[in-house]
Amino acid sequence: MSAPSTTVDEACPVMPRGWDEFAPLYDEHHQRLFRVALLLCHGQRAAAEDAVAETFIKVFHVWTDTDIEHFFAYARQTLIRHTIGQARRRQVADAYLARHGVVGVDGASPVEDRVTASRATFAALASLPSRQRTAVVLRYYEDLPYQQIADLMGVTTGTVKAQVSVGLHRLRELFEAEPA
Amino acid sequence: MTDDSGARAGDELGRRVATALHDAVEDVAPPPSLRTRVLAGRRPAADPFAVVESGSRASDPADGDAAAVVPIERPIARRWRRRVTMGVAAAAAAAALTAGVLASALPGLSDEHATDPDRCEAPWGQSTD
Repeated sequence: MSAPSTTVDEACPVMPRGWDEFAPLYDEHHQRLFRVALLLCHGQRAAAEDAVAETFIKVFHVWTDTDIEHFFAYARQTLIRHTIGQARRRQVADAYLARHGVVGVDGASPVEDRVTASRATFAALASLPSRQRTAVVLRYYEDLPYQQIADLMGVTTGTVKAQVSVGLHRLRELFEAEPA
Repeated sequence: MTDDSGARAGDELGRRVATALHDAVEDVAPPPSLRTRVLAGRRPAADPFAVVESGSRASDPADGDAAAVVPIERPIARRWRRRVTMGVAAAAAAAALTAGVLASALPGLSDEHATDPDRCEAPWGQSTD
């Protein structure tokens, strides 16, 4: 998996920076990042908030030492890695809870309970495996080309195409089951 | 759908999915408390193998209610603990078996011979009477 791009300007060394200097970057990018996180977390608002918070804190520690050329792209890549990692841990947790006869907790109810269509969308996203969901969201929400998605997810372009195709096929079944 | 044309220029299903995704998160914004939390550098969850009810917001003391944390046992740790338990059990069984064999092979050490005055002999076989 390629590392997120950061550049260090040697001619102009980075001055010590703190949270106050970071705040404008948060204000500029937090909303878009939160929406991507909400889709990746299939509507679980608490999980999306956690993912965004974790992402900004991780990015902050990099940002204090180096200049980040494309801040949103870097933050989005950090978010994707975080959510895929969380999904993997979630599988371990669910397996443990299933073995011990405990009903798993999903966190919070979908944020858009007031909108049936949104709930159906989140439910459809929840039915996809995390990597398929990530590929579909990046392709159809962020409108990224396959090559860039492959770089973000650390897989080949062919793998991304397959994941998008299978995910789309699955979503088609769900959308046909519940007409728009 | 061409690769670089973007999903919105794709087929009908692609457009429908793109529209559904955009509609689902339209007008959604994170709560103002998230800004405070991020800019204070508070990380969401300390234990990556913990399941926190209703998200890690509940685990944040500043946000109120205490978390219901279920510790998650790692498969590798569980596997090694089982191996260690089986090893200790096998060692204990071997020790008990060895003790039994030694006890039967050395009758002079048994209680029956030690308490019988008629059999009280010196180690070289002569009676001490």
